[in-house]
Amino acid sequence: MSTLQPAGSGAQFHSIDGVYNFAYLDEQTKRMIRRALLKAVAIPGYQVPFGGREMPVAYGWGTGGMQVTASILGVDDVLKVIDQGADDTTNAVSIRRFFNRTAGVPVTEATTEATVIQTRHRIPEKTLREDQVIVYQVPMPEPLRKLEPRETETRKMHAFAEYGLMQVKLYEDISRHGEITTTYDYPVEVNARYMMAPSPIPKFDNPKMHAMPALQLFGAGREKRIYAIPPYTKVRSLDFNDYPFEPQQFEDPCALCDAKGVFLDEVILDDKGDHMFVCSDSDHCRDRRAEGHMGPRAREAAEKGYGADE
Amino acid sequence: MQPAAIDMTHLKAGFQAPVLDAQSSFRAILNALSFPGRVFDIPAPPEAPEGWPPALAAAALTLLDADTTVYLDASARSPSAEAFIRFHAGAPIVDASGDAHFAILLNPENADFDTFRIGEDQYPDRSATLLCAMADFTSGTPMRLTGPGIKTVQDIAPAGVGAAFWMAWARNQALYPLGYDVVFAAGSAVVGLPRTVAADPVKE
Repeated sequence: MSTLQPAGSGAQFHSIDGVYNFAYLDEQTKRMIRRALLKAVAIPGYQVPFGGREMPVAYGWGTGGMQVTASILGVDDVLKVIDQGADDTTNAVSIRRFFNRTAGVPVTEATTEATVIQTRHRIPEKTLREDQVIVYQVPMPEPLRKLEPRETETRKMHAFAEYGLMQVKLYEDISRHGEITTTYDYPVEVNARYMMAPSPIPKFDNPKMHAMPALQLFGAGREKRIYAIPPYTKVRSLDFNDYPFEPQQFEDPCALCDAKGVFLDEVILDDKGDHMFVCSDSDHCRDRRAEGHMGPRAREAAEKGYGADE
Repeated sequence: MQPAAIDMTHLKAGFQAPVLDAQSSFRAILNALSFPGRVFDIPAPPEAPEGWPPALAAAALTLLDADTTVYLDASARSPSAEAFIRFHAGAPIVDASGDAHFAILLNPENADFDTFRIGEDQYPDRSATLLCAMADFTSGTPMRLTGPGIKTVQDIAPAGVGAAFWMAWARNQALYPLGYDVVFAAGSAVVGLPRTVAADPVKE
């Protein structure tokens, strides 16, 4: 009768590395987070409180996203982790290695191969699919916090959909600067009800959240909140009729892959002020270069006899 | 008072691989609530309490533990069901539907849906999740679903629920963002119905 094991017994432990339970968290914690996730999906944009655990990285390094990922990840998943669009930065490499060790899941840098994508502050350029889940790391889940420090008050504002304070803030931006100056973590309204902080993604990425085919999950570790946007859900960036929402635009294409209409990062090249703008999404840029696209800098390098990557 | 001992004579087996089965079972339920009305296969445990579809047993094993109260309707409540929940999940079984985080309904057509928790203004997540058993998802009243998670429309005809349920659902849906959420279970598959989704009869 080996199948008859009571709750909390050894049967609820399954280790990949011989040290930690599968995907690090214990089963009781995963169940608690899973129940919070289901309510988050049922109430799009509403921040569900959860019993956030200490993770073996510091707050600010994605503890919320990691707890969500640990609770959904299974042996059939392929994990991609990005930090500001790039797969090869410290945070992304560490989290990928963490789940590779504790859950044994294959990891990838290719957006198209991944089933779970944990992200810090970007949405990949390639359109995500229904069979993918994107998990955002969230530093500050409450969009109203900088305007109203009391949780008791912001909770009431959400309860009664009293979001005038944010509209006033955006209005004051316009009256002072002639435009809305928020460029990242730009507040959105989800399913025509809850105001939500999209985490500090550039507002360039806000339109991708609207009616995205993939499920979007958000985890804030320090603040202990989980929220979600189901697939095909209305997400509207706040604005005014006479000052409509406008994402960032870039005049020049990516210096390496010539991509237009993507989010670009500035890269400083020397101490004489030379710089270039390249894709923030490193996987997208690599794919385009592999397809033979060449930006002005890559062409220059090729003409000088360097490889496109050097 | 809960009885001290669990009736082992009626006990059915739980998941074969509790950690991995609970994970894939959870993903099926997460998918079901993310794509309302679509059918998702769920890894069923080898045995289930009397009258429970295997999918229902899987959902119970995945979601219930000592932190969640569970209500069983008269058809779902049996010695094997009580032993199953107490032994595998350790969840307290409550007699009043209004006290339950989760409800297991084998006869959802006769449930009094207005008694389930709908959450609070400031905490709409403090609401019940109803796990409803049925024969299939195709032979009942055809309904057309719209809402988040559905690109255009999604048709479904769950066998176990009729006019009474769908009238209760319309009331529930009108409460948004409050309301309970429903997971239908038939055979080894689940369908989700979160409170965001509107259901209208299919007009042919």
